[in-house]
Amino acid sequence: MVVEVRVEVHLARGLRVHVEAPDRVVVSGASAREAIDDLIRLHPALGKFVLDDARRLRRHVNIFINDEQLCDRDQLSDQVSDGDRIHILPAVSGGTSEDNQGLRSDHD
Amino acid sequence: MTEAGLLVSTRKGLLVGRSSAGRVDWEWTGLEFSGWVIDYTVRDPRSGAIWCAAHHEQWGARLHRSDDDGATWREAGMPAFADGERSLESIWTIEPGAQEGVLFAGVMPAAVFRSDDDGDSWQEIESLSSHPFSEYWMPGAAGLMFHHLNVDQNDPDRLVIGGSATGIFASYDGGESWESRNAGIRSDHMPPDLQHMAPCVHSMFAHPKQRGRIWQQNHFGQYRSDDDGETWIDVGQGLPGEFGFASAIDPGDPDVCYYIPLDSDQSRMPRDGALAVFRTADAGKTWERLSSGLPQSGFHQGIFRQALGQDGGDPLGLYMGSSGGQLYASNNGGESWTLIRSNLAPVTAVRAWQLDDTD
Repeated sequence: MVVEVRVEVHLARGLRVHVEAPDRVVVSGASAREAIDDLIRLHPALGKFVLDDARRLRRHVNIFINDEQLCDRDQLSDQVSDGDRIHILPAVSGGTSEDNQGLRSDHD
Repeated sequence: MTEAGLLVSTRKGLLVGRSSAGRVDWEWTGLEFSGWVIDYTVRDPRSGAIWCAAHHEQWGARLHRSDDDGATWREAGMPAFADGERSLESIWTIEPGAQEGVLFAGVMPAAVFRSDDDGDSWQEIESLSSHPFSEYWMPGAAGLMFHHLNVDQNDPDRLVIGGSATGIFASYDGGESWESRNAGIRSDHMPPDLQHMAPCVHSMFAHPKQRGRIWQQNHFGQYRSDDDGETWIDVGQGLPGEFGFASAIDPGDPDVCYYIPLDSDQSRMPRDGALAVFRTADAGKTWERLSSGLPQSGFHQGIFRQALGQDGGDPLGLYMGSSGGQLYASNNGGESWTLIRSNLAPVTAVRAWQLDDTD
C-alpha cells in the first residue's frame, strides 16, 4: 500500500505581496519537486515566482525543509516525509544580482 | 501644439507622463510596479498597447500590457526558453513587427523571440541563437543580451538587431537566416582577426525613411551605415569621446542623430561633470554640443543605453533619464533642456510618442 506523503508549504509574506496565495498550503509529494509541482498545480500563479524556465529553483529564492536548507536546487530531489514543513522564502541577496556584487548597475 | 506621452522605466518602477500642449507641463501616474526593475517600456503605435518589461531579482521576469495608456495593466505571455538549460533573465526590448499581431522581444541571455498573436505566446528565433558566431558572443558589464531591434515597417522580412556583445545581424527572410553586419567595426576586446565576431553594440537605430541607413553607438565608437551594415563609416570625429550608450534618431530626417558621449569605459560619465547631448544634422560630418539647461559641473552620473528617447514631433521632443534619477526634456530638438523629474531611481529607459486627438 502506498502511503501518501502530505506536507505543509509555508509561503513567505515577501512572496505573497507579489502574488495572491494563502500563507499555508497542504500538498502531496515525497520529494521537494513533487511537493512544489503539487503546489503549482493548486496555485498556478506561483509557478514562475518559484521556478525558472528550466524548472530550477530561482536563484534568489530559498527553500527550507523543516530547518534544513534544500540541497538540490536544480532537480529539487530532496526527500520529504509526512508532516514535514516546506518554507519558500525570498533570499536576502535579492536586492542586487550576485553578478553585480553591488558595484554597478544592470543597465550600463 | 504637440502633446506627448512619456514612458520612464526605472530600477524601482514605471512612470507614465502626459504633457500639456507644447510639451511644457507634465502630469504623471503614480509609480507602477513599485520595487520591480523596469527594463524597457514602449508603446506599439499600431494598437496603442503599452508593453512593460520588468524583472525582480527574486521573482524573475514579467511582461505587462496596458490598453488604456497605463491606467490598468495585465500580465502578457512571457517568452521562455524551451531547452531546459537557459533561463530568461530579462527582456531588454519589445519591437512591433510590420504585420498585424507580430512582436519581437530581445532578451538576456542573448536571444530574440517572436510573437504572432500580439504577445500571448512567444517562440525563440533559434536560427539566431545557433548562428556560428554565437560561440564568440560575450557578456558586457550588464550581461549578454539583444537590446535593440528594428523591423522595416514596409517589409516585414527585413530585420536588424544589435546586442552586447554580439554585434549587429540582419535578416532578409523574416528571421530564417542571419548575416553578420560588423565589418570594419572596432572591437578592442577581441583579437584582430576576430573583431567582426562580437562587437559591443550599445545602441542602434535603422532609419525608417532611408532604407539601409543605420546609426550605432558602439563601445569603441560611433558609426553610420548607408548599406544596411555592409560597411560602416566612423562618424566620431568631433565628438569628445568614443564611448557612450544612448543614441536617438529624428524619424523625420535621416541625417539627424543624437549621441551622449561619455568620458571612457572606465568612468562611464560625461567628461568633467558636464552633461551634453551632441547632434549632427549632416549625417555625422559635424556635431553640435547641446547643453542649455543641463548641468555643466558636478554631474557625476551616467546615461544608460535606452535612456534617451524621442517623440517624433516637429520640432523633435527629446527625453533623457540619468542613472542618478534625473529626467530632462527638450521640446525643441535638444536646443534647450528642462529638468522635469528628479529623485527617481536610476532611469533605465525612456520612450515617448505624440498624442493625437483621440488620446
